[in-house]
Amino acid sequence: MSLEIDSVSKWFGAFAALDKVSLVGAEGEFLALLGPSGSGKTTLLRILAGLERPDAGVVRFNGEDLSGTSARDRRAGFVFQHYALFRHMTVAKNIAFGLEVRRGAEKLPKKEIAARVERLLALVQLDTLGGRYPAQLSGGQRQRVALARALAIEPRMLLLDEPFGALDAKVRRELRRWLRGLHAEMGLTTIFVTHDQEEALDLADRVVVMNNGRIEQVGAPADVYGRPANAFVYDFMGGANRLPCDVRGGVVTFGGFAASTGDHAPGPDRAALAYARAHDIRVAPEGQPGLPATVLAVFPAGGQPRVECRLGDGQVVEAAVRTGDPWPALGQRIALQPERVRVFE
Amino acid sequence: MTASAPIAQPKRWLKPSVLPGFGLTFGLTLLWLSVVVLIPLIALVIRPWEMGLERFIDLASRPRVVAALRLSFGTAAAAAAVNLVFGAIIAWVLVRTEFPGKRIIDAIVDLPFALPTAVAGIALAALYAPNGWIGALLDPLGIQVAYTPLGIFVALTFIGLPFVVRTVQPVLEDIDADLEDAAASLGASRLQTLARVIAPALAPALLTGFALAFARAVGEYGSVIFIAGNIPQVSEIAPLLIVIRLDEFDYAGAAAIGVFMLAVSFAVLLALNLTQRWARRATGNES
Repeated sequence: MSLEIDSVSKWFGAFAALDKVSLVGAEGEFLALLGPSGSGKTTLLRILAGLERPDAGVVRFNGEDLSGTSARDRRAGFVFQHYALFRHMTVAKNIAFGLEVRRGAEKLPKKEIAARVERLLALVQLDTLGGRYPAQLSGGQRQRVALARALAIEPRMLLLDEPFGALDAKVRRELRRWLRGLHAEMGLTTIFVTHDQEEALDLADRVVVMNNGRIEQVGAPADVYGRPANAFVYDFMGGANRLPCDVRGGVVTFGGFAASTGDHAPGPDRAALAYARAHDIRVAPEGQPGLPATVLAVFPAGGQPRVECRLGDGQVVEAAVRTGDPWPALGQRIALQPERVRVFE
Repeated sequence: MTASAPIAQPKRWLKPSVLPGFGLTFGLTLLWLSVVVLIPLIALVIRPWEMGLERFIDLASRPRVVAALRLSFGTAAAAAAVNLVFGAIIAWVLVRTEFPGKRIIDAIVDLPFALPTAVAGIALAALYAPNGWIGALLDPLGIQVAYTPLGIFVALTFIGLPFVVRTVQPVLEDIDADLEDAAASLGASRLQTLARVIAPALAPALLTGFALAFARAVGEYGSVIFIAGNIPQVSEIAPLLIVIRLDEFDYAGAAAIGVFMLAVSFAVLLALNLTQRWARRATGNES
């Protein structure tokens, strides 16, 4: 129980950026704060760093209340989306900054600082670039410098605010893999803010889904993806289709086709909306039980061959075609059989 | 694949550019600079030589001339230095803080630009004279502002302020607040952040603001003559001495002072410019 966030609230005027948020992080855990913009995830991160003060609530680290500790004394390594490198300093000077501003007993000899900068440059694989200026580096390299700079102060926790948000997809994936390796190696408690659910699911030990200043769900990536707690989380994880269904005696049916809801009770008898991902919806020939639909487009290439079709009520739905099943033609009438769904109350 | 031979490029002093219209725009630049700046200056520079080098040196080294030049450059430098400090603080307040009436304060900064300098001079003289609002407070302390070099300094500070504020302000607006957060999270104090992060980033703009305020102050005439008292060798500025020489139909004498001022001003501005270029190159932020 290294990090403890205890009913933290933060208002900007009348707007509640954080509404009594509580969260506990284990020593060395990699947590991802995931949510749309305005969900409060960056505010929470800045409160952890001491760059923002909570209006209510307490943050503790190893039992110590951090409320009275300024950002300067928290030893929280912070990495910004837009790098925030000091452009008039070389890469090596940037990394050394946190060590050179130390005063008194904590001050390190110049040799020690130089040696540590060398080690960090090697760690972020920029060994030969210590003499360059930030303007002479690529985005990916700049962010690695920013990370090395944050690690130089031997932080107690590492806070990353959408660190890969300004980079292109390929570099982002590379850095993601590299960061995961780095975390495994160093075992530093790490909080990672992102609005990219794939990034969060790939990187984190636990994902914290946030919305409107509240935590919607906390869980392992497989849990959050496979067992979303509510409609928002399901939607935010991507690929959600909303299908009209009947709930009778705890069974969800679509035009006579009964779907599985796993361990999630669908609630009282009623007509409801069920959530289903494309790969859980089977395409069956017309006339079989299921939701009648018309094929609008087929996408045979890519990781998941799928079709786009329209339901009777005009709604457009994506469904997967199983290996071995026949491909429907454009305009053909089919039946959709949602095999695994969730119905939220 | 055939290896393509490098195309022989004729050695040119000009790098080829994809931007069209270089000839036209460069021609216009030269023409305009010539008509507006260079030709009048050349006429000024040629004039004193008509009487020979010896006479020029004699004219430029008379005690009254030397005293006027020293006063002009000295008070201009002092005023620009003070404006540097307070201009930077005002720019900081205007960019980084929110308060009611901010737009009005922002507009007030430009007043020294807009006010006819003679009006400013008369107002300052009235204010700082021994019976003026401020002068009456300073008089019992034995501080004389009006009709002394201190008065010149006050007038030059007044007219130079907007130059520093207006050059620093946009640069400060561009400095990401993240930089200060980053410095704080790395353990830097406010003072260390200011000295090591903000000041270096602002240095080129501060230098430009200083240079503009200094250049303006060296040439300032209207606001100064009303408050200076214009006592030869005490509070007589070089531009005024030039006017006096012209009134005496001593064109060579006027031109000699003018050429000397021109040379010093040009040297100072060039030095500041080169410093800036050097600083830009050192941080790899060229182009």
